[in-house]
Amino acid sequence: MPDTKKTYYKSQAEREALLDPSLPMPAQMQESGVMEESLAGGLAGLLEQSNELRMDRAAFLKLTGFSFAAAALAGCGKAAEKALPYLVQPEEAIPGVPVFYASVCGGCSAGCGVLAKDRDGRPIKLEGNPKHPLNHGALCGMGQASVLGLYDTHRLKVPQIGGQDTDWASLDAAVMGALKDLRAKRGKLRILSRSLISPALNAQIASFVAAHPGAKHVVYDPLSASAILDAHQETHGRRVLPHYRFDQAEVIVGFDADFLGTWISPVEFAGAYQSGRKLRGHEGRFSKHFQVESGLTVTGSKADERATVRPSEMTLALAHLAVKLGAPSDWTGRGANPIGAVNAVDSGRLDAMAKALKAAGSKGLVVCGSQDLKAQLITNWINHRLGAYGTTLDVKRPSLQRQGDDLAVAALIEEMGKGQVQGLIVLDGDPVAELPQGQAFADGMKKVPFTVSLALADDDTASLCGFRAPDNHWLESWSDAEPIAGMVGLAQPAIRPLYKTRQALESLAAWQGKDGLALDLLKAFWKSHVFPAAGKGLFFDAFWDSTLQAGFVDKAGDAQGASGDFREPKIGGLKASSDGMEVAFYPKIALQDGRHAVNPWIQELPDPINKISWDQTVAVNADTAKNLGLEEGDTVRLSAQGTGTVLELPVHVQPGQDPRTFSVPMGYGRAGTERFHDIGPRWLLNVPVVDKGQRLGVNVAALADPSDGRPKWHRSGASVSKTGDNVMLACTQIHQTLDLPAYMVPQAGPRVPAVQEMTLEEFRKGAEAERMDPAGSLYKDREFTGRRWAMAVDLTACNGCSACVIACQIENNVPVVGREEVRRAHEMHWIRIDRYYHDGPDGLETISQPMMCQQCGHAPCEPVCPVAATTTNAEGINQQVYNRCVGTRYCANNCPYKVRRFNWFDYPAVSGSETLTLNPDVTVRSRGVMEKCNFCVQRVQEQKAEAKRAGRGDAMDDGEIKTACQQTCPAQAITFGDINDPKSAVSLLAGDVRAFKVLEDLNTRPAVSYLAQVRNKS
Amino acid sequence: MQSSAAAVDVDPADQSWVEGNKTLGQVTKDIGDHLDGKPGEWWWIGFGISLLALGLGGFCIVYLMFTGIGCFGLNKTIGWAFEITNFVFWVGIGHAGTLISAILYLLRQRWRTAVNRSAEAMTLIAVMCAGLFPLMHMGRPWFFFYLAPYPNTRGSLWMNFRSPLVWDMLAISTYFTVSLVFWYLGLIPDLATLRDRAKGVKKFIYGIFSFGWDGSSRTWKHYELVYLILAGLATPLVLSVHSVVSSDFATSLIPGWHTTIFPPYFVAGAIFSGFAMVLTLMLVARKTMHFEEYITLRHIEAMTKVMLLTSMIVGLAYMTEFFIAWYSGDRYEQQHFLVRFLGPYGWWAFIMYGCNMVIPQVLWFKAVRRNLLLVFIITLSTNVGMWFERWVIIVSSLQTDFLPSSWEHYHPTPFDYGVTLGSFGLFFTVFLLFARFLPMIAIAEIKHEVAHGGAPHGEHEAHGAHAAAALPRAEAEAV
Repeated sequence: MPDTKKTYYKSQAEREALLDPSLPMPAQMQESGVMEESLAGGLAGLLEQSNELRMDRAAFLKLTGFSFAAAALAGCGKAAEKALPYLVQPEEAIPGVPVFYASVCGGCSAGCGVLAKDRDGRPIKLEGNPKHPLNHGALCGMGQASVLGLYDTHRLKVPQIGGQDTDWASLDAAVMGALKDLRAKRGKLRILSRSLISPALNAQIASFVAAHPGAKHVVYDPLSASAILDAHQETHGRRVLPHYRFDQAEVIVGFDADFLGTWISPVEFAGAYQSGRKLRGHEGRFSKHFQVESGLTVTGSKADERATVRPSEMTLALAHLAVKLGAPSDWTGRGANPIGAVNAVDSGRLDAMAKALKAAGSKGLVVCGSQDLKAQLITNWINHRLGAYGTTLDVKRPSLQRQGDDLAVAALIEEMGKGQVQGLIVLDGDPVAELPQGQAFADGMKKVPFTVSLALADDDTASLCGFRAPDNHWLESWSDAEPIAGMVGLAQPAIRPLYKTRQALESLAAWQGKDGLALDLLKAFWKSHVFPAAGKGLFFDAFWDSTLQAGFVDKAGDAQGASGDFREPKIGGLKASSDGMEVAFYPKIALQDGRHAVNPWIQELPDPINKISWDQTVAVNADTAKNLGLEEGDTVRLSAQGTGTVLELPVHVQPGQDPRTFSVPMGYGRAGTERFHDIGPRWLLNVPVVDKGQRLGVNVAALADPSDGRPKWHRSGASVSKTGDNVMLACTQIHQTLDLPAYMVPQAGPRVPAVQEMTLEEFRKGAEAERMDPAGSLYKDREFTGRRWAMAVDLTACNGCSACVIACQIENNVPVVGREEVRRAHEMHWIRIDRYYHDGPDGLETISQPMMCQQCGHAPCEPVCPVAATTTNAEGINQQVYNRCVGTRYCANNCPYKVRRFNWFDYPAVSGSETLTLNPDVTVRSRGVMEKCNFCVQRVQEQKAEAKRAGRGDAMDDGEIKTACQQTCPAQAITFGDINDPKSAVSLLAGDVRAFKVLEDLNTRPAVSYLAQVRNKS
Repeated sequence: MQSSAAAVDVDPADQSWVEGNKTLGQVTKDIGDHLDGKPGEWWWIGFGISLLALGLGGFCIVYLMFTGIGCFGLNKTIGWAFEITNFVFWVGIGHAGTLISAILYLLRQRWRTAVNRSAEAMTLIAVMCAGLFPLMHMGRPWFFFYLAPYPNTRGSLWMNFRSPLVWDMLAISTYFTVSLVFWYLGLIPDLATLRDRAKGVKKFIYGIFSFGWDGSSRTWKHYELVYLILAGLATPLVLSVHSVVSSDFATSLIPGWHTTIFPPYFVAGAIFSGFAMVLTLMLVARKTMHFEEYITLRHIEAMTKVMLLTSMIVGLAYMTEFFIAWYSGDRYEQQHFLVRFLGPYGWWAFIMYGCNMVIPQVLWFKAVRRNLLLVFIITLSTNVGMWFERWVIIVSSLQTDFLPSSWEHYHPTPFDYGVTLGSFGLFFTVFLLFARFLPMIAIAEIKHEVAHGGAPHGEHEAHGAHAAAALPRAEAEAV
């Protein structure tokens, strides 16, 4: 949606006016009998009681609905007067009309701009800020899901000292006392945080550190990029993370960097990557992408050419590439071709890479996710050799999204272990759970006399801290963000703090003896630091207001200007890695490092590659599995050389997996996941996700390789042994196990495949997608004389990141069902990503296909419904009438796309105070009814009403309506619009040479067109 | 009977179907005596087991009403499985009853008299069992009346007449109503006979339910006429009900369902399974209730011949499906039939084809047809095979349809088994009660056989007055 239609707010006063009346009801209301039932049990009561109160959807709706009903009923009473919404209605707060606040996503440290959608004073959904230069309106699944964290029932609600609830004044007094002692003794005080991209907070920390002699700020990253920064320190003289410009790249070579899924800033990278692969008709540029990795990632699935190596061979493979590009031949060690000997990437493929990179020159880009410093030095060398610095890599305005310093963290742990650290403030993060040396860190913490945690919930680190000073959720915070040097976002709260929490910025200031609200501190910082560089001659207030509206400002003048000199790195002594199996730990889509592991939306999201939700698995290559006698679901004990830790995990046989690598997702075994015991339907045979008091999955940190101070998320000498158990994995797409021998699948026939692919060469030569228009019908086709809403999905763009799945889930109140229900194929997602593998001439090819209701013109679901609960409306949307549905499931049987979802039980969409994220525009479905995608009909209706309100009548602009999946898609793979308008984007795409429809030959006349996947094969 | 020597001379078709030279009074006694006195221990055992199964099914249904359909093993891909299989199975079972009572009546097949009462009772009970399944299987069964055309304030909002489920509901309810009336009508003279035999409360109850039957010529005349009309009404239902049921599948687009041969194929299958079930029941009843002289080997042979015929029709349909799958060149259709036979669940198809198509072929041999044990085994295997036929059609078709991403397994839960057992429990409970309280064999009709000896059955219709006169006399004798 163009933001001209958003309601922004422009000043603090306005914001207070907007937020105040809609928040918790005054206490005296509880005096009235009726009100006690309703209002007290409503928003305010819900928040306070949320720990004890397990509320299902029905109860929630009853309460909220009842609140209004009761207010109306008791209209003459004293209490009812209080219940009237507004005495003076704020100009922009219209009940039922959302207000959007421009802010910065706090889901991770990528710093994407968001618009937080507030309904009646509570944020219910996040959407990317369309104008933000980083994410251009898109948001990843993790960001989408992070809104639930605000309403998390397990948040710390008050500060605590030694586990006892207290108030801020007492906590401040105690903390300041301890700090005073520390200052006096010049004791070592350490402030530990993940990468913080807030300049204001970093400045506050700096001043705090300056005020405490012996203090130091240590930054870590759970998914560290420390080696990249350190390598730039060596080669460029500055410890920076380059800003990767995938949009500029013509040839991309990725080494173990899942940049479309989980690496550093995937939303930005996916958008930029896609802008290098825009095809219209037979025209358009198309980058070439090589990927070398050990396990299959979404990035690998999009790669034109893909090869697998063991993690330890990555550096050697890079060195070989460098040598082919002219690096000293001794980089690759002794012997003619040691890589061949260790079976890394075959030389031919490296030749192809080198050739392509040479041809691309400065338009080439090599990215490497390895934590081996040498690998990063070689990467820098190659990029420098290509002349890519300045085009595809920007170190002048570098990225600040990863600032962690692994060596500093290692030093801190050593200091702590020796008992030298007297004070530790964990400002952000859960190092005990997230660091590879988590156990050592936890042991060290016990020797630190003064420990403070600012964590939002009682995580593994916070539970070891003496003081707990809970931070606000980012949706309650005033903050700023500078993900890329000079690109500064301004983050405003979308709700008043729900609990007695306090922002880190305020806490630090308070402990320095400076009272001040976060807003004032932030404003002061901006006045002195941002405004002078970006003020553009405005008064500060005007500048502030306009920035607040836009959500960001460009401080371009602030380019830090790294030195142009390139210092040749010294690489040597690379050895072929020892033979044998290795284990690699990878961040899974959305779950990533596990910081949102307690979020049920994220846990239930099927991994786009293995389609497994909830379960943590060991990915094993099919041949390896055969050799080891492993089958899907076999539980194994995984161990590695040099560590006593044994992980017990089920096996998933993964195509495209390196034969000598086991891959295990990280981010499991986190504090708070015990809650999943209660998720899912309650019935006789339900198996809880976790046993009471148990955590979901296991923390893999102990198996990471801690050598040379830069822990690596992989380890050599891995081995597995079967336990003899076999579990059924919660996999949403099991055609793996219902696979048929080849002879059973007739190859020829008058049908077109569900997914279509072509090579770039074929495409350039005029290849078109295969179409099969059915002969027609004896009956007259239904005509849509006005609009017909339609969708186009570009498979070339879609990388499977699944942000759409979570966006849809939030937008449409889709319930979470729990592991056992997923195992029973009861998952409820309205949009799913179908993943198909194909053995190409040079390895596995993977294709992701978003599959939602196809809104058929001849919908097979409609005639079979005995009660006419599903019909097509005048604009072509196949609608489901929940009230009418009796649940025969005939429609689902007859749907060839199998997109219909049935409420097998009374699934609570969310429970506890998390119910506040429910979208009031969408019905919460009861047990026993069918549901499915309806092209976000509520958004369609909203914009139509908006057009009428704006006096435009029925006239709508193309692209004015965006479905939730389309809105959040980082690759802009989804287009929605009116197909009866020949000039609309969706019409053009539906008529594209690559366009086809799935199962078109069934004469279902789907409204969704797919655009064939194109691969740039050599 | 006159004598067996006389039978040598007459056409076997004219031979009496009752053995043992029964008098009319003896017939009443043979059949009516079962309703007096205490039931035997086998009845109690059977009744106990049935009641237990019924209770289990009842628990499952009540539990899932409170919890949700998720108790069944159904999933996003397989929306119908055990319950609809059971539904089609039970509806199919019912067909034999109507065929025997209506079509064979119109076709003057005199042997039907020995089995038509139980077959009709079986029909009713089977349709009751069948009717339960779509109801319990709904997401929101409390709104089942949305399927009915009733005036409402929504517009009026009618059900969707294009949906085969609506046809289904209309067909099954019509079928049940007609079958009930037909069965009850046939029962009235017998109830009167029982009334006349009984004393006290029993007499009073039978009296009420026999509607004051007086056995006069007028009564008999009306009775015969109404019976004939109802037989005429019930006849098309034999063909229509299962044709409609088959439309649930045939009108969809799922490979394995989307087939034009389904209506005749389903009807033949229904009759096949129905006869198997009738035989199963009759063989047991014959043994335990000593009806050997009423349900003779000739009856059994006649019914096995019907089974053989329908088995071959069904077999032809099976082969046609495969042929068409190949001949159509349709990839999905071909894939489906290959998977059905050779896929991971090939054993389902093996049971289906084996029990329904191969095993019944032994019925070509007279020795087999007259070997009660073998016939009993074959009827059981047919029942199993026909259940699997519906299972294969429903579940294996849904398992692997168009998009491989959605292919799913079906894992039944205890609730699936529970309600299936429960339906058998219901069936046998009601059937055993029927056997205790109502005559298993149509007394009035079987008396035709006794009274007329070898006279063709149609004669008394042609000369209604004669027949009507004959019977009251028989009644009198019996009393």
